[in-house]
Amino acid sequence: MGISANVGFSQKAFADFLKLNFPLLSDFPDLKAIQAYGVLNAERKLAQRSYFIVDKQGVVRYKKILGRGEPLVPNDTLLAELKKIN
Amino acid sequence: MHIVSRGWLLVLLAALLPGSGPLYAQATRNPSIDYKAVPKLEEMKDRPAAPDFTLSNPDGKKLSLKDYRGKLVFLNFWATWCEFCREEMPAMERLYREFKNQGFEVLAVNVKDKRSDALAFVKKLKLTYPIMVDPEGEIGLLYGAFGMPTTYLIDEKGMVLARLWGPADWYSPGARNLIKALLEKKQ
Repeated sequence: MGISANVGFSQKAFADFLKLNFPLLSDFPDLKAIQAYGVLNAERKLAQRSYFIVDKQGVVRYKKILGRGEPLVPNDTLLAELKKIN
Repeated sequence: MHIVSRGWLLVLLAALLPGSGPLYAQATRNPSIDYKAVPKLEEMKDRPAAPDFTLSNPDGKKLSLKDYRGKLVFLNFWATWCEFCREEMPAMERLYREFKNQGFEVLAVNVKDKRSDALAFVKKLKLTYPIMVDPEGEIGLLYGAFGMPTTYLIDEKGMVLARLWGPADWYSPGARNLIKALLEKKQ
């Protein structure tokens, strides 16, 4: 799932445009989840681009917070992290 | 299933007969809404509420979407650097002129553009519908204008009827019939 500070209307447009097959959740206006995961860009009131893998017990097993301009984590890397858990 | 099909056939025949009573009158008063008459126009069946926003026009006057409640709103996102936007805007102007006195409004949000470029373009094409400027692209992002042009049709209560990513011939017979039908339905 993807979480952002955008409103649901905007997220739906984004999901429709990209034909995404996973849910997008809106953390607007409270930004509670974004703060709880420590990825709030307070100045812009946005989530920093970040990845978390949470296992079945609810334990965070992988975390990557991208800096400004830092490239996205390749899918292969994320899949390798998932395999480590399984 | 067979009985249902036969029932539909009977209704259709009655509606087609000239002067055949209430069904005919109803069919002419409430023409069907055909969103597919405009290629790639997608009906938003869940009718989400269009988020309100306030932007300035090129003269600095503040305009809000909610100011246009009660009207059928054609909300278009465009930029002068977008070739397809430039191509479709004259047809939008013609559509606006045809229906503006019947409760139809065109709002054109200029996204991530130089104000001077936008003004020059509006002047050159003699556009008469309201222009709003969104220099940072925040409202464009809110409405998912990832590619431009992007257009929304919004009903008189502020609910989204349809959305189109990409250009269209907005003065085609299909587009004009659609707007006409939506305006007649509104009344």
